[in-house]
Amino acid sequence: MSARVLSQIWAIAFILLGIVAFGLRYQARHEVREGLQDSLWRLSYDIQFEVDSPAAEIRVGLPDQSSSAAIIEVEEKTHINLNAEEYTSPLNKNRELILTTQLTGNYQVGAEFEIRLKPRKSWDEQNEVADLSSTAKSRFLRSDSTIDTAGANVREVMQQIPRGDLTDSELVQQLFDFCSLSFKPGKSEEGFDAVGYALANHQATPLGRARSMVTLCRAYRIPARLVAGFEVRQSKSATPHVWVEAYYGHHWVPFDPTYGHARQMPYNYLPIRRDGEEIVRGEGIKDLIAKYTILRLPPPANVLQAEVRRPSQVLDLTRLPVEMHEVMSLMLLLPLGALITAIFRNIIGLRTLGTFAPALLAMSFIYAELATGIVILVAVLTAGYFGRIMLDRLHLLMVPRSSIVLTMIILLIVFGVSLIDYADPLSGVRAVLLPLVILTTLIERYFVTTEEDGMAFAMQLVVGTAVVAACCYLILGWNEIGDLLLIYPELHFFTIAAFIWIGRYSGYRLVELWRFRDMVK
Amino acid sequence: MDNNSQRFWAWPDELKRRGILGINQRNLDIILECNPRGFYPRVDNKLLTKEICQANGIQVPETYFIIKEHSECHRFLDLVGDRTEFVVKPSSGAAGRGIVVVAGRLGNNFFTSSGRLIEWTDLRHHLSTIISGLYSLGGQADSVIVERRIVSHPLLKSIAVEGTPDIRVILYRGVPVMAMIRLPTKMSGGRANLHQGAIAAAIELNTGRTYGGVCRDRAISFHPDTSFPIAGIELPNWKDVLEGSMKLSDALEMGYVGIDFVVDADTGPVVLEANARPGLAIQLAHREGILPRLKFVDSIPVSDRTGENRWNVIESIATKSSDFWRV
Repeated sequence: MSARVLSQIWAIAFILLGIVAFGLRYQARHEVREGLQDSLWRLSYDIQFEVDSPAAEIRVGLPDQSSSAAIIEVEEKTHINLNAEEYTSPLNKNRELILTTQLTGNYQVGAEFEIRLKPRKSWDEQNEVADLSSTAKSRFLRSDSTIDTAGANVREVMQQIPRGDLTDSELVQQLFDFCSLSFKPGKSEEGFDAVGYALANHQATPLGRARSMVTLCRAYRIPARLVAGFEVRQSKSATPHVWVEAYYGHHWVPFDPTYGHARQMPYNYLPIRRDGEEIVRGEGIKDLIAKYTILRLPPPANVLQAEVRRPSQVLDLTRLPVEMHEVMSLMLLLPLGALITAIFRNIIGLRTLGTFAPALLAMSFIYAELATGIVILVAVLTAGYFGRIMLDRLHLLMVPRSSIVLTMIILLIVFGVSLIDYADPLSGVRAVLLPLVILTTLIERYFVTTEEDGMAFAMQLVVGTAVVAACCYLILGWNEIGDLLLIYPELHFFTIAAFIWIGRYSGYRLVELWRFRDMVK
Repeated sequence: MDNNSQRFWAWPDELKRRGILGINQRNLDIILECNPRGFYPRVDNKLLTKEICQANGIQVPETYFIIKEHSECHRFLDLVGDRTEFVVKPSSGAAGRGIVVVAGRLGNNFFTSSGRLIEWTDLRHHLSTIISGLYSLGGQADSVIVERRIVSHPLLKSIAVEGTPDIRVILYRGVPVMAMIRLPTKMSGGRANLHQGAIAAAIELNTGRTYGGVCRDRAISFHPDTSFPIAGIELPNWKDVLEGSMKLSDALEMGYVGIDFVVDADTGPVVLEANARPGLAIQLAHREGILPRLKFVDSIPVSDRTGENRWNVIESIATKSSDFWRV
């Protein structure tokens, strides 16, 4: 098999390896994050009633999948004499369990739901467009015993809030403000569930507020409905909560006049029944007692045991102590520096002093701070340059000569840092560990190149080195890249694939297009 | 054709059509394929190259002595004796690095061919620098070769401003495919180094006559210092150069190699060094890409391009019109 084909196979293998490794880790991290952010709850129903009519029918509202809640597990315990049937109403999309029986007597029904609440809602889910037919519209404008749109108190409010040129949205906001702010809390036993009573006395229960808002909306010919559900929180005896949805602009828009939430409900609002105010309702029964429990469940075991030692953690670099992160991500950036170097050398064709020197130089600038780094670099290069000129006359052997330059550079740095600190103790200057040995070799190489290939060529190399170093600095200095590589070091499989491709690139280098330009006349 | 090009670059497919070999393709498709890594020391180490040349009856500059250790440096003056002309070069230097040509001497003061004074201490320092490996590939410890200074053939001397012109022949699978002569200029400081501004002219393989020309990657037709035309010079001992190059290429067992000659006034062509990674400027000197010539050699059956049959191949390469080489 030719090297070219083999290289392609290897490169593709590395790409695939990268995709698989990245995918697995992304998936695992996603699961853990979900486990930490989402919450698990158990909602239990305990319903007791007595059937006293042979045509009894009990409708139990069930929680539904929604944008913020996922129903994980459902367990229903019904009585042996009850026929159970699940039903979803087409208009309101309510899920119900319809229980029927011909046998009178006492019954007990239970149901349990495991619910995962997600704090995030996706935008399109919460803005689901709903289209109302004229029959549906008339249904959501209807007046009945609890929602009497023709009551005297309603007309009074309508005089206070004239429709005028208000948009639907503005009007609903005013009605919401009215129901939310102008009522004092009232008690159910004193009759403050009723709209007329609430409007007359400016006092209302939560149900009274919601009913009032729906009544007023409908009075203004804006379709509206009650929503019964739960505010999910730890509770041994949870009470259902009622809020409002008004229809305008092709959307059902939620409002909670009791707690003041508008347009977007908290993610822990779990709607059960739309256009209704009870969770359970029935015909032909009496003594209905419905108890609800909401219990917070622990997150999945893998989330709680994240810190348990296991060999696979070796692959997770973020687990290392924080102070190691900087060095680790810097090390992980090095291959990218090498990649940039390879691109410059083999594709662009820019020549530098030393192969990896520019990338290493850039890395040290990233690790240090740019201003200090540049000051020290300039000082080091100047000292190194003049030191080298002076030493040239001593005719020393190469290694000792370079070592003297290195020692001089180090002394200059230590005292330079000390000087900066003396001048401005608050400058927070920190010794920069530039790759000193590399700098020393760079200086040496510059001299040899100047002697052997001329000043012009040496300057070309210097400029090339500066360009590559600057490029590396700009790209690798991007914090997010280092962080990303620390989380997903397997991204370097792609880097290796890129190296293979560059390594097999036999096309012209960019500078050759310039170099050979005289050949195409 | 001279320095008045309006173009700032050429498109890749234009270069491809002209058969230009780029550095990446040279490294990947030619050098990696043709030159076994294990044979590199044969060209990288000049001592070894010299030995191979001598074993095959190819002329090289006479070696006076070799210095391998720092401790031997002090014996240099004894070893040189009363010679006034010699060349000091690193055994593993690349691109002519570290070579000092001593052309005159006053006691322990030496003078280079361009008249620069080198005191004994300077020279001694230079020797230890070479041994330290400053000029060697990869910085390995090196040895110093002290050899006879080649006196350029009078005809070549007349066209060189200063320094010694050298001839490079590039052989592909043992067949000379391109050749050029490199002429030092004032800009190059008397060295035949194209980086430093030396000029190069292409050589017709069958006649040894120069044509084309390049200086600092630009096409030129006249010597920048003397304004003499660089085309039309007939090189002396041309057949000997080709013969020597083919012999050495066979001995080196490398499929793609550049061999550098100088033509000595007395002994004729001698090999200076061989190079397993010859540069690409030779194409500029020819104003023609090398790739079609390599393909042409590949297209000839092996039996027709080995031994003495190579002269026919050289003849047909040289006599093909330039249109033949366009892809």
